[in-house]
Amino acid sequence: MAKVKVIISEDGTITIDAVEGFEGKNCQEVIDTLMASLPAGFSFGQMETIRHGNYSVEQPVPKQKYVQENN
Amino acid sequence: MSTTQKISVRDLKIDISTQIDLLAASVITMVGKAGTVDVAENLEIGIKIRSTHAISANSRYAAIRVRFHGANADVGIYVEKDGSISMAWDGYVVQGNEELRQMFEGRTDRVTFEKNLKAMFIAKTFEQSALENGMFSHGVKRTTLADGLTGQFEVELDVGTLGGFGKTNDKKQSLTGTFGGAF
Repeated sequence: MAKVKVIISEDGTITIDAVEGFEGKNCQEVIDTLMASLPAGFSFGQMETIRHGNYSVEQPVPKQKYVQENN
Repeated sequence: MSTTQKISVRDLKIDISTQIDLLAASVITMVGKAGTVDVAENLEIGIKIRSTHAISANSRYAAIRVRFHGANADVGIYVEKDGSISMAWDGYVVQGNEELRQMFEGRTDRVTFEKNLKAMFIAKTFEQSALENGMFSHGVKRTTLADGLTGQFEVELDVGTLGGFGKTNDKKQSLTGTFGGAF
Protein backbone atom coordinates (compact mmCIF):
# COMPACT_ATOMS: atom_id res chain seq x y z
CA MET A 1 0.00 0.00 0.00
CA ALA A 2 1.40 3.35 -1.03
CA LYS A 3 1.07 6.24 1.38
CA VAL A 4 1.11 10.00 0.91
CA LYS A 5 1.31 12.50 3.73
CA VAL A 6 0.02 16.04 3.25
CA ILE A 7 1.42 18.49 5.78
CA ILE A 8 0.15 22.03 6.18
CA SER A 9 2.11 24.33 8.44
CA GLU A 10 0.80 27.40 10.21
CA ASP A 11 2.70 29.68 7.88
CA GLY A 12 0.79 28.26 4.93
CA THR A 13 3.35 25.88 3.55
CA ILE A 14 1.87 22.74 2.07
CA THR A 15 4.14 19.75 1.77
CA ILE A 16 3.03 16.66 -0.06
CA ASP A 17 5.30 13.80 0.79
CA ALA A 18 5.17 10.40 -0.85
CA VAL A 19 6.34 8.46 2.15
CA GLU A 20 5.96 4.81 1.31
CA GLY A 21 5.43 2.29 -1.44
CA PHE A 22 6.42 4.27 -4.49
CA GLU A 23 8.85 3.65 -7.26
CA GLY A 24 10.03 5.93 -10.01
CA LYS A 25 7.54 8.60 -10.99
CA ASN A 26 4.45 6.95 -9.51
CA CYS A 27 4.57 9.31 -6.57
CA GLN A 28 4.40 12.30 -8.88
CA GLU A 29 1.31 10.82 -10.53
CA VAL A 30 -0.44 10.61 -7.17
CA ILE A 31 0.51 14.16 -6.31
CA ASP A 32 -0.74 15.34 -9.68
CA THR A 33 -4.00 13.49 -9.15
CA LEU A 34 -4.45 15.09 -5.74
CA MET A 35 -3.75 18.55 -7.04
CA ALA A 36 -5.95 18.14 -10.11
CA SER A 37 -8.93 16.97 -8.10
CA LEU A 38 -9.11 19.90 -5.71
CA PRO A 39 -12.31 21.95 -6.00
CA ALA A 40 -12.43 24.38 -8.89
CA GLY A 41 -12.84 27.52 -6.78
CA PHE A 42 -10.23 26.53 -4.24
CA SER A 43 -7.00 28.25 -5.03
CA PHE A 44 -3.79 29.60 -3.69
CA GLY A 45 -1.23 31.71 -5.36
CA GLN A 46 1.91 29.81 -5.98
CA MET A 47 3.19 26.30 -6.06
CA GLU A 48 6.81 25.38 -6.11
CA THR A 49 8.33 22.00 -6.56
CA ILE A 50 11.31 21.76 -4.27
CA ARG A 51 12.19 18.13 -4.68
CA HIS A 52 11.20 15.34 -6.98
CA GLY A 53 12.78 12.05 -6.41
CA ASN A 54 16.29 12.19 -7.71
CA TYR A 55 15.68 15.42 -9.55
CA SER A 56 15.53 18.80 -7.89
CA VAL A 57 15.72 22.37 -9.03
CA GLU A 58 17.41 23.38 -5.82
CA GLN A 59 19.61 20.36 -5.56
CA PRO A 60 20.58 19.22 -9.06
CA VAL A 61 21.50 15.60 -9.38
CA PRO A 62 25.21 15.26 -9.93
CA LYS A 63 26.25 13.60 -13.13
CA GLN A 64 26.72 9.92 -12.74
CA LYS A 65 29.85 8.11 -13.75
CA TYR A 66 29.63 4.95 -15.79
CA VAL A 67 32.55 2.61 -15.59
CA GLN A 68 33.01 -0.26 -17.94
CA GLU A 69 34.85 -3.12 -16.44
CA ASN A 70 36.87 -5.33 -18.68
CA ASN A 71 36.58 -8.93 -17.63
CA MET B 1 12.40 7.78 -2.19
CA SER B 2 10.41 10.83 -1.30
CA THR B 3 8.66 13.35 -3.47
CA THR B 4 7.78 16.65 -1.92
CA GLN B 5 5.91 19.66 -3.19
CA LYS B 6 5.97 22.87 -1.25
CA ILE B 7 3.18 25.34 -1.75
CA SER B 8 2.93 28.85 -0.47
CA VAL B 9 -0.62 29.78 0.37
CA ARG B 10 -1.47 33.25 -0.70
CA ASP B 11 -4.96 34.58 -1.18
CA LEU B 12 -6.60 31.31 -0.25
CA LYS B 13 -10.05 31.03 -1.78
CA ILE B 14 -12.75 28.45 -1.30
CA ASP B 15 -15.21 27.04 -3.78
CA ILE B 16 -18.42 28.73 -2.65
CA SER B 17 -20.64 26.17 -4.35
CA THR B 18 -19.14 23.15 -2.61
CA GLN B 19 -16.97 24.16 0.32
CA ILE B 20 -18.97 26.36 2.68
CA ASP B 21 -20.13 23.35 4.67
CA LEU B 22 -16.54 22.18 4.87
CA LEU B 23 -15.51 25.60 6.13
CA ALA B 24 -18.20 25.46 8.81
CA ALA B 25 -17.05 21.99 9.84
CA SER B 26 -13.48 23.23 10.05
CA VAL B 27 -14.50 26.13 12.28
CA ILE B 28 -16.50 23.84 14.58
CA THR B 29 -13.57 21.44 14.86
CA MET B 30 -11.07 24.20 15.41
CA VAL B 31 -13.05 25.99 18.11
CA GLY B 32 -13.73 22.72 19.90
CA LYS B 33 -14.29 23.30 23.60
CA ALA B 34 -12.96 26.84 23.43
CA GLY B 35 -16.36 28.26 22.60
CA THR B 36 -19.56 27.84 20.64
CA VAL B 37 -20.19 28.09 16.91
CA ASP B 38 -23.38 29.20 15.21
CA VAL B 39 -23.74 28.47 11.53
CA ALA B 40 -26.41 30.36 9.62
CA GLU B 41 -29.06 28.14 8.06
CA ASN B 42 -28.62 29.87 4.77
CA LEU B 43 -24.92 30.15 4.25
CA GLU B 44 -25.12 32.96 1.81
CA ILE B 45 -22.29 35.40 1.55
CA GLY B 46 -22.19 37.51 4.68
CA ILE B 47 -22.18 41.26 4.84
CA LYS B 48 -18.67 42.30 5.53
CA ILE B 49 -18.13 44.59 8.47
CA ARG B 50 -15.85 47.42 7.60
CA SER B 51 -15.65 48.73 11.12
CA THR B 52 -14.07 46.81 13.96
CA HIS B 53 -16.53 48.40 16.37
CA ALA B 54 -19.88 46.99 17.46
CA ILE B 55 -18.97 43.51 16.28
CA SER B 56 -21.35 41.93 18.75
CA ALA B 57 -24.27 43.72 17.17
CA ASN B 58 -23.27 43.19 13.55
CA SER B 59 -21.89 39.68 13.60
CA ARG B 60 -25.42 38.32 13.26
CA TYR B 61 -24.98 38.88 9.55
CA ALA B 62 -21.98 36.59 9.40
CA ALA B 63 -22.27 33.16 7.83
CA ILE B 64 -20.47 31.65 10.81
CA ARG B 65 -20.30 33.12 14.30
CA VAL B 66 -17.95 32.05 17.06
CA ARG B 67 -18.32 32.96 20.74
CA PHE B 68 -15.24 32.06 22.71
CA HIS B 69 -15.74 31.29 26.37
CA GLY B 70 -15.20 34.38 28.47
CA ALA B 71 -15.64 36.75 25.55
CA ASN B 72 -18.32 39.41 25.35
CA ALA B 73 -18.46 39.55 21.57
CA ASP B 74 -18.76 37.19 18.63
CA VAL B 75 -16.24 36.54 15.94
CA GLY B 76 -17.84 36.80 12.52
CA ILE B 77 -16.52 34.70 9.66
CA TYR B 78 -17.47 35.87 6.21
CA VAL B 79 -17.11 34.46 2.74
CA GLU B 80 -16.62 37.01 0.02
CA LYS B 81 -18.19 36.68 -3.40
CA ASP B 82 -14.87 35.56 -4.85
CA GLY B 83 -14.53 32.84 -2.21
CA SER B 84 -11.99 34.57 0.00
CA ILE B 85 -12.50 34.26 3.73
CA SER B 86 -12.45 37.13 6.16
CA MET B 87 -12.98 37.44 9.87
CA ALA B 88 -14.06 40.26 12.12
CA TRP B 89 -13.27 40.30 15.79
CA ASP B 90 -11.81 42.30 18.60
CA GLY B 91 -8.20 41.75 19.45
CA TYR B 92 -8.96 41.00 23.07
CA VAL B 93 -11.71 38.50 22.47
CA VAL B 94 -9.60 35.36 22.86
CA GLN B 95 -7.37 36.57 25.66
CA GLY B 96 -7.28 34.20 28.60
CA ASN B 97 -9.06 31.31 26.91
CA GLU B 98 -7.47 28.23 28.47
CA GLU B 99 -8.76 25.82 25.81
CA LEU B 100 -7.11 27.82 23.04
CA ARG B 101 -3.96 28.08 25.10
CA GLN B 102 -3.75 24.30 25.35
CA MET B 103 -4.56 23.80 21.69
CA PHE B 104 -2.03 26.26 20.28
CA GLU B 105 1.07 25.80 22.40
CA GLY B 106 0.18 28.53 24.84
CA ARG B 107 -1.04 31.05 22.27
CA THR B 108 -4.48 32.62 22.25
CA ASP B 109 -4.04 35.43 19.76
CA ARG B 110 -6.15 36.12 16.72
CA VAL B 111 -3.43 35.52 14.14
CA THR B 112 -2.70 32.07 15.50
CA PHE B 113 -6.34 31.07 15.30
CA GLU B 114 -6.67 32.35 11.73
CA LYS B 115 -3.53 30.59 10.56
CA ASN B 116 -4.60 27.32 12.12
CA LEU B 117 -8.11 27.58 10.74
CA LYS B 118 -6.76 28.10 7.25
CA ALA B 119 -4.33 25.23 7.62
CA MET B 120 -7.03 22.90 8.90
CA PHE B 121 -9.37 23.90 6.09
CA ILE B 122 -6.70 23.13 3.51
CA ALA B 123 -6.02 19.78 5.16
CA LYS B 124 -9.70 18.88 5.08
CA THR B 125 -9.89 19.95 1.44
CA PHE B 126 -7.06 17.60 0.52
CA GLU B 127 -8.68 14.84 2.53
CA GLN B 128 -12.04 15.30 0.87
CA SER B 129 -10.50 15.33 -2.60
CA ALA B 130 -8.54 12.19 -1.80
CA LEU B 131 -11.66 10.37 -0.61
CA GLU B 132 -13.46 11.35 -3.80
CA ASN B 133 -10.61 9.75 -5.71
CA GLY B 134 -10.91 6.43 -3.95
CA MET B 135 -8.12 6.98 -1.44
CA PHE B 136 -8.34 6.24 2.27
CA SER B 137 -7.64 8.85 4.92
CA HIS B 138 -6.33 8.29 8.42
CA GLY B 139 -7.83 11.63 9.40
CA VAL B 140 -6.62 15.16 9.90
CA LYS B 141 -4.29 15.48 12.86
CA ARG B 142 -2.59 18.47 14.42
CA THR B 143 0.87 17.97 15.81
CA THR B 144 3.18 20.28 17.71
CA LEU B 145 6.53 20.87 16.06
CA ALA B 146 9.77 20.01 17.77
CA ASP B 147 10.33 23.58 18.90
CA GLY B 148 7.13 23.37 20.94
CA LEU B 149 6.07 26.79 19.73
CA THR B 150 3.97 26.06 16.65
CA GLY B 151 2.08 23.20 15.07
CA GLN B 152 1.06 21.72 11.76
CA PHE B 153 -1.74 19.65 10.28
CA GLU B 154 -1.12 16.26 8.76
CA VAL B 155 -3.26 14.04 6.56
CA GLU B 156 -1.96 10.56 5.82
CA LEU B 157 -3.53 8.96 2.79
CA ASP B 158 -3.48 5.38 1.57
CA VAL B 159 -3.50 5.68 -2.19
CA GLY B 160 -3.85 2.01 -3.05
CA THR B 161 -1.70 0.01 -5.36
CA LEU B 162 0.56 1.71 -7.83
CA GLY B 163 -1.09 2.86 -11.00
CA GLY B 164 -4.60 2.27 -9.76
CA PHE B 165 -5.06 4.91 -7.15
CA GLY B 166 -8.17 6.55 -8.43
CA LYS B 167 -10.28 8.20 -11.01
CA THR B 168 -10.36 11.75 -12.23
CA ASN B 169 -13.44 13.75 -11.49
CA ASP B 170 -14.37 15.59 -14.67
CA LYS B 171 -16.10 18.32 -12.69
CA LYS B 172 -12.86 19.32 -11.04
CA GLN B 173 -10.10 21.37 -12.48
CA SER B 174 -6.57 22.02 -11.59
CA LEU B 175 -5.42 24.84 -9.38
CA THR B 176 -4.37 28.19 -10.59
CA GLY B 177 -0.72 28.37 -9.85
CA THR B 178 2.71 28.33 -11.27
CA PHE B 179 5.31 25.71 -10.96
CA GLY B 180 8.61 27.04 -9.86
CA GLY B 181 10.53 24.25 -11.47
CA ALA B 182 10.32 21.88 -14.36
CA PHE B 183 9.59 18.23 -13.93
